[in-house]
Amino acid sequence: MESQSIQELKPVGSGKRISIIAYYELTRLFNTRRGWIALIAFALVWYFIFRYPVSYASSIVTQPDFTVMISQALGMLNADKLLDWPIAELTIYWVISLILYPLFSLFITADQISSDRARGTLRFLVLRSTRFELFIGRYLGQMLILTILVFATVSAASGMAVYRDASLLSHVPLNSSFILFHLFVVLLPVVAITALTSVVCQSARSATFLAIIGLSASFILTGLAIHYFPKLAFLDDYLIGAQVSDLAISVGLTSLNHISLPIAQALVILAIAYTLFNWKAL
Amino acid sequence: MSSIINCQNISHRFGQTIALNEVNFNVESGEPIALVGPNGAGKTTLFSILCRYLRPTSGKIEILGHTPGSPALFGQLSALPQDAQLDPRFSVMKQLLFFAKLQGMNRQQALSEANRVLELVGLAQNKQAKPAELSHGMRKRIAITQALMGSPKLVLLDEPTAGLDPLNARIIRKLISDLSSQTTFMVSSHNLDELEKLCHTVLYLEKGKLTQQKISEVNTHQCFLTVLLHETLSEESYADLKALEAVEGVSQTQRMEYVITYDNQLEPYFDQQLLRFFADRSIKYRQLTKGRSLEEQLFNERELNEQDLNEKGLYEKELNVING
Repeated sequence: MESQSIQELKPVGSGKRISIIAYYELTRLFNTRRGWIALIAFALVWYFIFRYPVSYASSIVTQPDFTVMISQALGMLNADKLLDWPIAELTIYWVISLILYPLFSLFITADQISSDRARGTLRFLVLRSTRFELFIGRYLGQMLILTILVFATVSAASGMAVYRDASLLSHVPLNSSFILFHLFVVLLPVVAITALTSVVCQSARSATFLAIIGLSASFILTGLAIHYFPKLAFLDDYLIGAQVSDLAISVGLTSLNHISLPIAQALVILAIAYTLFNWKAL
Repeated sequence: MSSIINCQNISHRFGQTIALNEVNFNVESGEPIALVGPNGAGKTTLFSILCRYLRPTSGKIEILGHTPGSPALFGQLSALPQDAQLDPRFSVMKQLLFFAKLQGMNRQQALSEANRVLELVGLAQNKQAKPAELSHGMRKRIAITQALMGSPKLVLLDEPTAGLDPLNARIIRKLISDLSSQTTFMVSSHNLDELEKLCHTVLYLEKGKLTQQKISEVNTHQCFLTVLLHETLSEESYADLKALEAVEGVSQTQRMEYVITYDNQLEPYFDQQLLRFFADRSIKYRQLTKGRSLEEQLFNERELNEQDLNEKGLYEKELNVING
């Protein structure tokens, strides 16, 4: 049926197939009209963030109201520790990113499975990859996209800082890497949530809505449960993003204390999502 | 010949509905196989189980010695799933390249393979188009191309010509016929004429039960001729025809179509005798076919009597004499 060279194809390993699928996910964002619309919206939001809070960062963080405002907004104690960051632009970027990226990821990562399943496109793919490879490849692809976006925006924030004061350049690598790594970990369970909802839903939009409703419901129900049964207060520590307020003010290696929860959450959610995906008819 | 599909006691339920009921069959590599049955008979369910889109409620399946979904089948088993569509956001070529890479081809091989299969279905000019820019028939042909990539040993085609115009349907039939020496095709279709031309084996599914499996060469004295005339036989000619020595029966299947049952041992060249019979009476015919149509075999016979068609032999080697 085909040329000699095709006859001699070597079997592809599972890791290779996962990487092909993950890489293909990049093109969904960077090579489609819908992806570009999302990117333009993303860029506009960040333009205003860079234009105002980040560009005035050095004056904002030195205002006495700053730590009070942050404490109230994020519900964190010891917000004054944020003042220890040597680069004011990254301080502002870090605080905003911790809120904005999880929200943004709910919108751009919600189409991991849903529309391809509804359309039947997955039927072409599962004859060439296992469901696990497809599922995990798409999840990793979404994480790769977010990592690229975080890298781009943290680089922009760092660039603004260095433009203001070139002596800050030496602090950029460590602080940028810190942010990149921790944002990646923070986003792991959030993207796992959209992986789960995209398995359950028939469209990206409903997957996003279900993720938002699910997360909101978990916060509301936990709050109600704790209100009526104060002994359940420990549940607060296991919610998605529960570690974020502590992570925001942590420095150096102490920040690593806050990575186990999101990783564990991501693993549990992914396991549930994959189990559902593996049993579903395509 | 090696066993390419082996199904043992496959059952599948959708709630209270039994889609497949203890289906058993074994298919060997070789000629294309037809999967026939009325709507809701379980054909797509069976295809879905073979491709592991669906898990059977019970039973055991082996395809090329592996369970469905096994990585060992990647590149060996391919399919045209019913109603499945490519991603509308990406060009045809981009998606074919993606599939080819998953099958283990490098970029160069993938490019050449995608071009080859697009040529096969006459869509090389449309490789940069997005699926939404193509007609229904073109999208169907594109979906068929992905099933032909690489060197699959088994290709499952669910309604491959449904929705195609006659010319394109013919192209697809010819493609299957041309490639069937290297690949085993299993084709589901409601177009029995099409299956008759392509396949020498029929799996007949009805109400989830596989009731017939085999088409064999003639193995009894009883033979059939199907003749399509220009006009209906007069009562006199009809009676004369039935009176011929070798004729065991004549049935009118359509307004101008008759199936003649005759004894092959009494008159081995009955087809020639029949042509003389028509010539003597100035009866013009349009088509004479040795054997009965697949439709006739599958349905009329079942309506007329409940005799076991497997024993009789469902299919006779066909000889078409096209007149005009």
